[in-house]
Amino acid sequence: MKGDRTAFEVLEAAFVEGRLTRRDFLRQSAQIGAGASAMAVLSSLGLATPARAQQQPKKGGTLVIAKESELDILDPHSAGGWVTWRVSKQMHEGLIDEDLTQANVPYPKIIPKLATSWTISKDSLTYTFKLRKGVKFHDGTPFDAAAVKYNVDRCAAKDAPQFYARANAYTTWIWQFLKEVKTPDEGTVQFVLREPYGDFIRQLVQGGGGAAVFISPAALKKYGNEGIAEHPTGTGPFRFVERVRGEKVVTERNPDYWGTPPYLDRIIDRPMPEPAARMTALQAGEVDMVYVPHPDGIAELKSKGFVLQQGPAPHVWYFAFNLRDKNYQDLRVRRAINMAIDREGMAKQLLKGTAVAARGLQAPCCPSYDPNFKDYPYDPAQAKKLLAEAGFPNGFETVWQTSVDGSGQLIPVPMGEWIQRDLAKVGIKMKLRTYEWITYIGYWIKGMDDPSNKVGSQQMSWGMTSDYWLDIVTNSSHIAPSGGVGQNGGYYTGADAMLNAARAEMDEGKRAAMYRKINQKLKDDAPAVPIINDLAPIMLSPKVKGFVHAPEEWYDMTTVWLA
Amino acid sequence: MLKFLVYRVATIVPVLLGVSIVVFLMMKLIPGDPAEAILGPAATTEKIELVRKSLGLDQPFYVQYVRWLWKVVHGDFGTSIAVNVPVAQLVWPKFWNTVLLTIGSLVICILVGLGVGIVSGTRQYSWFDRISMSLTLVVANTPAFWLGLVLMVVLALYLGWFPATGMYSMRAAHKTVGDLIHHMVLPAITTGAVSAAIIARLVRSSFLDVIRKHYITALRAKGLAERDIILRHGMKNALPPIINIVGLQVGYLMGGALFTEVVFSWPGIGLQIYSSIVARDLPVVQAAVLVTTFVFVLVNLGTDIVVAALDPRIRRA
Amino acid sequence: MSAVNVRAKEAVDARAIDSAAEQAMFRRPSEWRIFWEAFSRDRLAVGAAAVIALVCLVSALAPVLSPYDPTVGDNSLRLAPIGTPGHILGLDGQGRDILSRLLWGGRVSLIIALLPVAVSSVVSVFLGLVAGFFGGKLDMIIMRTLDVFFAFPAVLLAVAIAGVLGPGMLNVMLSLTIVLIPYISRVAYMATVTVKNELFVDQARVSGARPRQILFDHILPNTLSPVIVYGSTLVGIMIVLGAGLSFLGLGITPPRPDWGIMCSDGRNFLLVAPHVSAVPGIMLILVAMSFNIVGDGLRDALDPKLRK
Repeated sequence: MKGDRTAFEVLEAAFVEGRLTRRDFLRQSAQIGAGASAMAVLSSLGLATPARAQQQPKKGGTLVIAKESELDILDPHSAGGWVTWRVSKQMHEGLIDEDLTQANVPYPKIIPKLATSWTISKDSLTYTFKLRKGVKFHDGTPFDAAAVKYNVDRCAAKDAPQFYARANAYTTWIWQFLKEVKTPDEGTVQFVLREPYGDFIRQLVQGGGGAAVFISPAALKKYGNEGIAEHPTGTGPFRFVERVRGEKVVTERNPDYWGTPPYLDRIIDRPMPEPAARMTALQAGEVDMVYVPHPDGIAELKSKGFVLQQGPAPHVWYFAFNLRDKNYQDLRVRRAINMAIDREGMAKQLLKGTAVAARGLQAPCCPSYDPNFKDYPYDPAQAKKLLAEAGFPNGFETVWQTSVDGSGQLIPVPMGEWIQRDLAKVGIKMKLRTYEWITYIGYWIKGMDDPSNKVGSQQMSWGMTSDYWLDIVTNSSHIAPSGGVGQNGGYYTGADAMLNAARAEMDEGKRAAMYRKINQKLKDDAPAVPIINDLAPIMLSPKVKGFVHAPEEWYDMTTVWLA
Repeated sequence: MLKFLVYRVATIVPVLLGVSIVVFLMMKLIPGDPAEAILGPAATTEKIELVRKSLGLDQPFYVQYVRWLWKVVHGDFGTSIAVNVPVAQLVWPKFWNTVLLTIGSLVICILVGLGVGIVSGTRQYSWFDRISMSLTLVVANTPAFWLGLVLMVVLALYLGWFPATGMYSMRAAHKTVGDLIHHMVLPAITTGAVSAAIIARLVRSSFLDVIRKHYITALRAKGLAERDIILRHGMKNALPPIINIVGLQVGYLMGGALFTEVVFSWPGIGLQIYSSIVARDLPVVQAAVLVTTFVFVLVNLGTDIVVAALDPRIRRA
Repeated sequence: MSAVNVRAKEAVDARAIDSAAEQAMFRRPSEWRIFWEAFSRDRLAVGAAAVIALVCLVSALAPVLSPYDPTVGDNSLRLAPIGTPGHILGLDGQGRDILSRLLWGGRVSLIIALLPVAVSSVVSVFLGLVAGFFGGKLDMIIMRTLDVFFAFPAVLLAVAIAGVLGPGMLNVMLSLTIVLIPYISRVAYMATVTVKNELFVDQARVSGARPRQILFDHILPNTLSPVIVYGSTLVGIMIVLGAGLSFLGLGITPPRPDWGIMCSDGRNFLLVAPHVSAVPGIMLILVAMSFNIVGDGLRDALDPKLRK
C-alpha cells in the first residue's frame, strides 16, 4: 500500500513538478478516467480552466498577508531576501520584468516594463533601451533616462556622489560587467558592458538580492541613501503608506499608475514569525494569505475551505562538500553520499508534499532547467559499495552544519536529522552543527577551510530564474575572502572554464544547452548534494481570487481581488 | 517619612547600575561576532575588521561598558542587527503596548481578585468560598501560555466572540479604543488570571485575619453596621499587604505578559524580546531587558513608598 | 513569580522561626513525629503528596511503562482522538502516541523543576548562612549582589538567560537555578538573621557555650525548614516556568518530548485536535497544584500555632 502510486498520482506529481503542461495533465488524466480529480487539483492550485464559471473581479478591499519574518529595509537596491522583495517589488519597477500572470510555464517570460523595447548591439556589449513616456514616480517627479542613470550610478559608479556601498554589495551580480551608462536622450538609455554577459537581461529582473529598479532621484536627494528606506518612492502600481516595525507594512493602490491599476485598495503585510500564529490568524479571518504555512496544519485548513497554492519555484535546498577535507576528496565518496539520501521520503513524509526531491543542482524555473534530468538514484547498497571501494568500508565521521531557520531554509534541523539518519545507514557518522540564521551566514561565507569554520559540509538554499545562478554557486571566482556567497565555501574549480564560457554566450538556446552540460558535469563531479526543491506553499482564504502562483519566489499582486 | 524616602531612593541607584552591568555582561558572553552578523553575506575579513573598530569591539571590557552606558543614558541603544533600525525605535512603541496590556491585566486582577477575595473572606465556608478557593488554586497553577491557548480556541476560534491575534484590527481605517479593548480582553484575562487567583486568596486570608481581630468585635459592640465595619476598617488594615502584592504582581505581569504576547501575537516588548532572541538580535534583547527591568525596579520603589505611607510601622524597620 | 515573593514573606513569618528556635534550644527528639502527625492530619496535603509520588514513579519507569517510542510517529493515525484503540490518549500531529510522550516528557519536566530548586537551595542556604551569620562586609556584598538579580522580573530573566545560553536541558536548568538563587537566599538569610538574634540574646544568659558551634548546630536546621517549605512550592512554579521555556522553543531540543513542547506542538490543531495541547497542560496544572498544596501543608505542619 505504501509503495504503490496510482496512475493519477504519477500524473499529478509530474504536473506539480513542472514536467507536464496543464493541457497534457488534463488530457492524460481524462484518459485514465481521473478527469474530475485533475480538475480538483487544478482548482486547488488556482489554475482552473477559463471554461469554469468565473466571478467578475471586484475593485476594492484590503488584503492582509502574514509573512514568515520581519522585512529588511525597503530600499530595493540595498536589501536582499524574498520576504522583503515581495513587498518592494509592488512599489518599484525596472526597465523590464517577468510576466508573473502566467502560472504554468516552465519559467517566466521577459516583458517590457519601464522600457518599451530594447536592442543589443552586434558586439553584445551595448544594450539600448527605449523608455516609456509619461511615467511618474510616486512623488510626482518624471521618470526618464537621467533617473535611470542616477539609480545605476548609486549602485555601480564608485565616484558618484550618490554611490552607496551597501547598494553596490547587494547588486553585484547585475552590474558587475558594466562599463558605463549613456543617456543619448531623455527617452533612451544605454548600458555598455566590458565583456559579453549572456544573462544580463535575466539578471535585470531578479530581486533576491538588490534589484535593478528605480527610485525617484528627487526622493533620494531629499532623504539620502539611508533615509530612503523609510520613504520608498518608485513607479509601481502600489505606493508606500506606512510601516510599523514588527507590526505591519501598509501599501495602497497608486492612483496615477501608468499601467493597469490593481483591484486592491490596500495591502497590509504582517510579519508573524511563528507558524502557529500565522495559521491561527488565517483561521480567525484576521489575515487573508499566509506565506510558509506550517506543513502540519495545512490539511486541517484545507478541510475548512482554505486554499493551498503551490508550484515549481526557483529554489533548491542543498549542501556542498569541503573539497579540502580528506574525507571528501575521493569522487566515489561524494557520489556515494548522493546515493545514500532518500530525498523523496523527505519530501513526502517530513515536508508533507510541500516540496519535491531535487534533480541536479540547477534550480527549477530557469531556461536551462531540465525536468527530466537524471540525478543519482536512491541506492544505499551501491553507496556502501562505493564507500568501501574508496577505502571507507566502515564509513567515517564528519561535521555538517546548517541554520536553525531562515528564508527558504524550510525546516533545516529536522531535514538535517533525516540526512543524518540516512548517512548512518551507510556507516557515516554525521555530527549536526547548527547556528542561528544571521550568524550562520557569517560562517557560511567564510569557506569551509577557514580556521573558525572547519566543517565537512555546509547547507544553503536559494535559486534564481537566471541560469547564471549556477555560476554564482559553483564558480571558484566567487569564493571568500575576495567576497561573496559563491561556491558555498567548497573550493571546487572543475566547472570554471565551462562557466566562464557559458556566461559570455549570448544566444539563449545555446547558453541553456551549455548550462545543462555544466549541470551534468556538476552531477559527475558531485561537489554538492542537491536535496529538495520547495514548492513555495501559500495558504489563502477562499475570499482571495486572482492570485497567480507564478514560477518565481515573488508574485504580481495587481491581478488579486477580494470576493 | 522623608528619611525613608531618601534611603529607599538611594538604594536603587547601585541596583540599577548592577542591572546594567549584568545586562551588558550577558550579551558579551554570547558566542558569535556581531560584526559578521551585521555584514552578513557581504562580509570579508577587512570589512569585518573595520566594522569591529567602528563598534568599538577592539577596546577592553570596561571601556566598552562605559561607552555603552553613556549611550544608553542618552537614549541610544544601538542598531538592530536583524532590522537595521535604531533599537530605540523598535523598543519604545512595543514597551507602551505592553504597558497597555499590563494595565488591562491589572484591572482584571484587582477587580476579580478583590471581589472574589472579599466575598470569600466575609463568607467563610459558604459554597462560594469553597468553589472559589478550589478554582483559584487551579488557576494559580495554570501556565499562562496554556490558558491563553484555551481561551483562544474557545472564545476566539470556536465562538468567534473575540479576535485571536493582534492589538488592533488590521483592516479598520482608524484605531479606536473599542477595537483595542476588544483585542485586549483575552490577553488581559490570560495574563491577569494567575495574579487574580493569588490576590483573591491573599485578600481572603487578610480579611479573615482582620475580622478575627478583637477590635472589630469591639466596634461591633458599639453598634456599627457590619458592612461598614468590614469596608472601612477591614480594607484599611488589609490594604498595605495587598498593595505590596499588587506591586509585585506588576513585575510578574510584565514578565508574564511575554507568554501572552507570544500566544496572541500582541506587539509588546515581551514578543519583541522573544523574536529578537530567536533572531539573535542582541542589541534589541539587551535594550528591552534593560528598559523592562528599570521600570520594574521603579514600580517596586513606588509600591514600597505607598505602603510605607500607609503603614508607619514599616518606615521604622 | 510574585507567588514566590508571597511565599517568601510567609515562610519567614517570625512566629514560625520563633518557635523553631525555641524547639532547637531543647532538642526535642520527637520533632519529626510531631511534624508528621501534623502533616498527616492535612488530608489534602497527603493526597497531593501521593499524586506527586505517583507521577514521579511513573515517569521514572517510563522506559518500562511507555507503550510506544515517543519519538516515532505513525502518519496514518495522526491526530487520532482520545480513546482510539491502542492509543488511549490519542496521537499528535506527527502520529506519536501522547501517553508515551506524557510519560517520557514527565521525566524531563520533573527534572528541570526539581534539580534547579535542589541545587539553588544548597547554594542559597550557604550564601544565606554566610551572609547572615558573619554579617558586616560579607553580608553587604552577598546580599547587594543578589539584590541586583532580584531586580529583574523572574520570567524575563529566565527567558533572557535561556535565550542567551541557547536551547538544551542543561541550559534551561542553569537558567532556572540562577533565577531561583536570589529568592531562596533571601529566605535563608532572613531565617539565619532572626535565629542568630534570638540565640545571641539567650546566649548572653547561658554561659560557657562556644558560640560558633552552637549557632551552627541551631541555625542551620532552622534555616532549612523555611527553605524546604519554600522550595516545595517553588518546584510547582518551576514546573510551569520550565514548561513555558520549552513552549517558547528555548528549552530542550527535539525530538525529546517534555510537557511544554507538547503544548506548543498542538498549536496548529487547536480546533480539530485540542487534546494534543490540552492533555499535557492538564498534567502541568495537576502536578504544579500538588506541589503547591504540599508546600502549604508543610508550612502549616511546621507552624506550632496550628499544631493543637
